[in-house]
Amino acid sequence: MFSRTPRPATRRLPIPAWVLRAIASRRGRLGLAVGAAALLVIPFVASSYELDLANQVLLASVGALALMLLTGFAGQISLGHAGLMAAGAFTVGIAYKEFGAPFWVALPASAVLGAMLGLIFGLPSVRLRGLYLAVSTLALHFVVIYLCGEYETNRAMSSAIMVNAPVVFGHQIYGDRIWYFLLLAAVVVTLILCANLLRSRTGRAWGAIRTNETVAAAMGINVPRYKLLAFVISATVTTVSGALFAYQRGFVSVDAFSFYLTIQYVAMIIIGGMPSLAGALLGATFIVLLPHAIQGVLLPMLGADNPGSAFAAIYAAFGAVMIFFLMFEPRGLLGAWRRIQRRLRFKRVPLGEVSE
Amino acid sequence: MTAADGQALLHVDGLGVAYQRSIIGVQDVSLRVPAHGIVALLGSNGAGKTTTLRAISGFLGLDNARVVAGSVTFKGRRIENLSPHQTARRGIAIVPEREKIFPNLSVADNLTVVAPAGVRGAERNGLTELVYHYFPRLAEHRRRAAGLLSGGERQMLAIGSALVCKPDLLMIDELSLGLAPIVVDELCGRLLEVCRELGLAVLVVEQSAAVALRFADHGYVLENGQVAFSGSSRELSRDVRVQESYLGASGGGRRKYGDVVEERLARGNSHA
Amino acid sequence: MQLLVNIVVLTATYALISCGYVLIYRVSRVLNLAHGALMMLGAYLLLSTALVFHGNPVLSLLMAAALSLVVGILVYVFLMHRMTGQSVLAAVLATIALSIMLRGGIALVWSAQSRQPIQHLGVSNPTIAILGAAHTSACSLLLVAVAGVVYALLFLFMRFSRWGLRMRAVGQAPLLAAQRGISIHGIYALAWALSAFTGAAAGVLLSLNSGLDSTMALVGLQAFPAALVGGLDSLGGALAGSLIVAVTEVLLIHYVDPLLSSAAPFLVLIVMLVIRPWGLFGTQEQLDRV
Repeated sequence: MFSRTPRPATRRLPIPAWVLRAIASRRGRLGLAVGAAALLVIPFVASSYELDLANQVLLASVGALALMLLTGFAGQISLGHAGLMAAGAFTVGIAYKEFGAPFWVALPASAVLGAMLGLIFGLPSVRLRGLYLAVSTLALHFVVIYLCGEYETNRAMSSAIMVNAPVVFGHQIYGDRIWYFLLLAAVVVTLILCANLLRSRTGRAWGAIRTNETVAAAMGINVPRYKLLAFVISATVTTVSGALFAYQRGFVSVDAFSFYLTIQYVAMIIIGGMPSLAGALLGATFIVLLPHAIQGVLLPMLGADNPGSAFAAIYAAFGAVMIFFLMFEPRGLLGAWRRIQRRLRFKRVPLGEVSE
Repeated sequence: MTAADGQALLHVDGLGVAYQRSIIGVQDVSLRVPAHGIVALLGSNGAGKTTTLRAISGFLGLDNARVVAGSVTFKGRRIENLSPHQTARRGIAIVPEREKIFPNLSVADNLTVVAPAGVRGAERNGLTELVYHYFPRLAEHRRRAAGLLSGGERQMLAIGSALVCKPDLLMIDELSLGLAPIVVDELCGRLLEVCRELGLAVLVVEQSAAVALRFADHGYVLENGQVAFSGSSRELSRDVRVQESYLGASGGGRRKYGDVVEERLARGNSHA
Repeated sequence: MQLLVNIVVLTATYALISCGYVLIYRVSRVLNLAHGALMMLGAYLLLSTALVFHGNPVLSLLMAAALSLVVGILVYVFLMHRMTGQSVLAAVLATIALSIMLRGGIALVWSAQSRQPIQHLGVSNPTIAILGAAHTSACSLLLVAVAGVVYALLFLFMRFSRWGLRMRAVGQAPLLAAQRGISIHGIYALAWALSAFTGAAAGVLLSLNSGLDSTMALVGLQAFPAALVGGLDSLGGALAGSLIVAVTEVLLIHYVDPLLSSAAPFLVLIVMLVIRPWGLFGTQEQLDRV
């Protein structure tokens, strides 16, 4: 269920099975090389609009991976995602505004805050499940947003907090291209971290907890500990992604972190397909690109051209797409992909196999 | 020898049920329930009794199970894979093992809420009075919340609410489970009265063969999802194999558990 | 004294909104987070009917009421009906998605500018003094009255009418109800219709008082802590929860910080989840029932 193929103990590197299979064949190696090259070349061939989109996708991927760990793999529902990102962003903002703290202080500070917040957000999960857990995380989200709003109103005169570009080893990180590589590195690091976790005892514990908590506890797994661990790790990554968000945009404002943002991330992991790291990436890409696709396609159809209508149309279409997936494709894009794969391979599958 | 055939009320023919498309619940089960009388479905845990009941009443979908073979015919029409709502309207009422009453409604409300649509006030009162007639203890607790009743009273209320629906077939899952013997005796007595006076057909699933064979007319014994024995209750009580496996009689000697298992397996292998 | 009046009005507001949450949760264990959007839709529908039936406020209100009932049924038939069988959480996410879709749709149809339905209805909203020491608006008083009437009617309905009894039965033991011939889908549709209706009533009254714009859906979201604090499946609990949240909010605004108004309900909610997750009068249940 959380491990599709039995993993030989000798494989210690966190490389997914499909990559290994690809490396084994010549066509696969070529495909991988082309893919990697494409990723590296994008900043030099894409227009600035496309590059900005790519950066958004990468940034969203980090947050989506974090949420996928928590909800997709550990089975803990959380609706507080935007609040955590806001916490990360505001840590950076406050650190810069009040203390002039540099990048290499503010970023770890946001990670530490993220860990602490993860503990707080995760405490209800020890006693609550499902709907009530979701509601508690939602409530905490609103509290965090309130605190950030307080700060912004009182200390920043209700306007956004400007943040200078981060300086790493004497170089200023400014401009879409550099940010692309930084964010790409962030995604890769997060992927490796997640893959490692999932292969470890922690990942197995999470899988057991997600399947059936009572049975997991009966098997001797310390359920509260692993739940809290999931929250803490996920929250840390999320706050860091919020911090990166603040640095990349250059300013911090509480308006960017609404409940709608949380829902966008939830949609990412659902539409991508739970539980799956690739699903998180797929979902992030889909959700980030969706508004632009709608703007390009739907609006000319509707004849709506003012920005208010544009936003409303995007909003409405997002809701509709999410409903579509919830009703008809609960396993997400990845689930649909696997179903198609199975259909294509149908003739080779022996008849005795249990489907689904 | 099975119950008189011809136009039995309920025919189950060669029923096969699979869970999640792969795990067989019951296989090739056939039974007949006549229009009047009590039929018992016996067997130990996991033999397939509840699965069979669910196949008849339409509750299979909950456990991701389906009828994959055979048929269930009620009053001449096939009813397998219908929803609970539809089987209820055809005249089958089931008293389930667990969720059998509405705990936060009063006893009286439990009886009035289930009256079929189109039943007017006077007829509805008549039906509830009928239930109170057979189960006077319920009348005493008319206003009490049903969740506060004792186990035996709950079972009575559950049977009563099934009766209000004016069924032709009443099915009871685990009649005596969790109840003291004296309560079970009372229940069985009432059930016999109800069955005789209202002319119902009753299909009772029972783990305790001794209880069931006392008041049922005919019985079927399920083992491992298949019918192992069937016959009138007198025949079954006298059957040595039934006695040894289900009625606790062992002809003087003690049998080891291993022997019982071996014998059952042998019997299972001889079933084609 | 003014504080007391504010508390009463806020309690009535939260109560009228909360009963919508309770109605649906009670029968289907789903937390309908689209309630705020449905409230908003009801208010915008009134705007349109008021424009159509200009000068005839009663007819406008009746039409809007009928439309809101229909909307509730449609939401059930086309969306929530398909979600039965999936997990409760998926159903809740569906309601969230629905609220997003509705909010976008409403802005597309009616544009996002702020409106004043009261002008179109042709009624006025004078300020009324109470005992000479406090004042409030006529529409606020109307809201309090309507909330009271709605609750009274709902109590009577649930306790004494046949359909109310069936609703309670379905909420307690849906499988048994199905087997006894009670139409589960009919009951669910009824719950959704009633919930949309009470939500629309709340939305309309709020819009008469303070104008109508796209932020009304958020007000709906702020009221669900009141329902949860009282116990999501208890109407009486919704009243009690609304009172507690309203008192907390008004006092916090007055004595501590006005900005707290949006966070106050959630603070109370957090406290309640720590002490007693199923609320004051809710039935204690396995909290992850699917």
